Amino acid sequence: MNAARAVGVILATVAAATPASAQQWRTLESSRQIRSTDAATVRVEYAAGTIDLLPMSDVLLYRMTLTYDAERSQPIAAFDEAAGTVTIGTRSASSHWDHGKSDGSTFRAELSRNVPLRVSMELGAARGTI
Amino acid sequence: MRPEGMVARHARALVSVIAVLVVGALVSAFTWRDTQQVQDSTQTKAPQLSAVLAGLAGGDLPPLPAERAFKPGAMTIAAGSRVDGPVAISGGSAEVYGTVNGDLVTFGGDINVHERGEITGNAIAIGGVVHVRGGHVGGQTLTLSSEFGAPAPVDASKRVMQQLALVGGWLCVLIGLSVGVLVLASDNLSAVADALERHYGSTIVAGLAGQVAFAPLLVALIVALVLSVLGILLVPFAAVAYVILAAGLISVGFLATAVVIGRGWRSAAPGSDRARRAATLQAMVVGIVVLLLPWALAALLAAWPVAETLARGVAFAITWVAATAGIGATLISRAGITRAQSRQAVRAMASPSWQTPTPVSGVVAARRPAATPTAGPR
Repeated sequence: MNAARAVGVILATVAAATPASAQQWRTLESSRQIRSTDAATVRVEYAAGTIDLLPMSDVLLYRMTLTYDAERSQPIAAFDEAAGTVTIGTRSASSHWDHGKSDGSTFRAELSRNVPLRVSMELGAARGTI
Repeated sequence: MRPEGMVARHARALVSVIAVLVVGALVSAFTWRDTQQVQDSTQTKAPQLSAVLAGLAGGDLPPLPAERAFKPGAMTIAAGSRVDGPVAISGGSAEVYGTVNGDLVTFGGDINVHERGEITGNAIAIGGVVHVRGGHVGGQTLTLSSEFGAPAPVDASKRVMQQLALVGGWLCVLIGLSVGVLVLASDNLSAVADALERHYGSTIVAGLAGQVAFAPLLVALIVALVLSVLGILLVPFAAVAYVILAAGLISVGFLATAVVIGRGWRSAAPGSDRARRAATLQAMVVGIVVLLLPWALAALLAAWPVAETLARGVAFAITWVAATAGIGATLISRAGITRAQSRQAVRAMASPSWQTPTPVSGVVAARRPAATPTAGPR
């Protein structure tokens, strides 16, 4: 009886100490070489975290480094060739904002100076430098 | 008066329960750490391709080939040669000197696009890096780093502050609750605390029994109401009332434990009712602080996950023992209801409202019936 009770107590303690859900942090780097000097559109979508948007002089149209929690957000790195539109950033995986739970999420994008770019942004709970 | 042997037995029971829980916490901490290490090794060294592909499927990324399309080993596209894509390899790097007509995807390997090498589609390296060494990539270049699944750096001081704030919040809530209980159920609280002091060993057993019986009793209550047909309508109300009642009993029990701990630090001096309540509140606050100290210590260790888990296990064990003893004391003393009623009765008897003069008028006594003569023996 005592042994069974002790085992039960230990199991309960183990269960209580087990983290409920683990975060899945991932790092994604994405870039695209310049193929023409035609004007392009860059759409930045970012749900929550730290954002840095900088210019660069390179043969690349853009370069993005993204650290995100796969449990809460999904990465975006898409190029619409016909429209000449690059869409980068993250999108919330759930339908609601996870305020205060984006610690560690970072988004850094460098955009070419050599191509005329129209930049549009859709930001959530983000802070950083543009 | 408690016999010394009983006190020693209760102390041994408390120590043994806490020891069992601490051992459980240690096992939990090391198991958790081992699990983390295994997860890290699988995610950083050999992540499962299917899991990675599934994880990336939801994002707005260039399409990835199916798992079966990945060929094991390295690959070299020779200069002047042309391979139709998508090309997917796992466990090796791709050296591109020629042309890949479409996408090139590697899993656990790099993509090196050498001079005059070309990938007309996307170059995607999962657990590797895309190096463009003078070649050309027509589409996107995507690199999912080899640190797949590694935790992002978290500001340790911020985490510590968050955890401390949580403990502070609980302190405020419990102190507020203790004031409420003192105002509304002071006698019940004292009775439960006294029961806890007198029958410590029994309270642990009763508390365990109460925890075990919680769910079955609820089920029995619901079944009984359903069987009575008319009671079906009362099921939701009864269930909510049952849970609220249980929460109240747990709260009173936990606060009674805090009172007992606080009394150990500073016993209540006999005095007026108001002075006794003030002393009880003081003891309760001290007890709550003592019970929350392990949680505060765990919060301070938030920067070290293993130490934090261990400290949390110990804090949980202490809190659980305190709550279990409190629940048991509440059950044994029947939430102090009997004693609270008798105390209220004593107060009522001592109240001046009862000190009214003896009524001077009343019902006229009835005439004693006269004895009827009995017939003598004939």
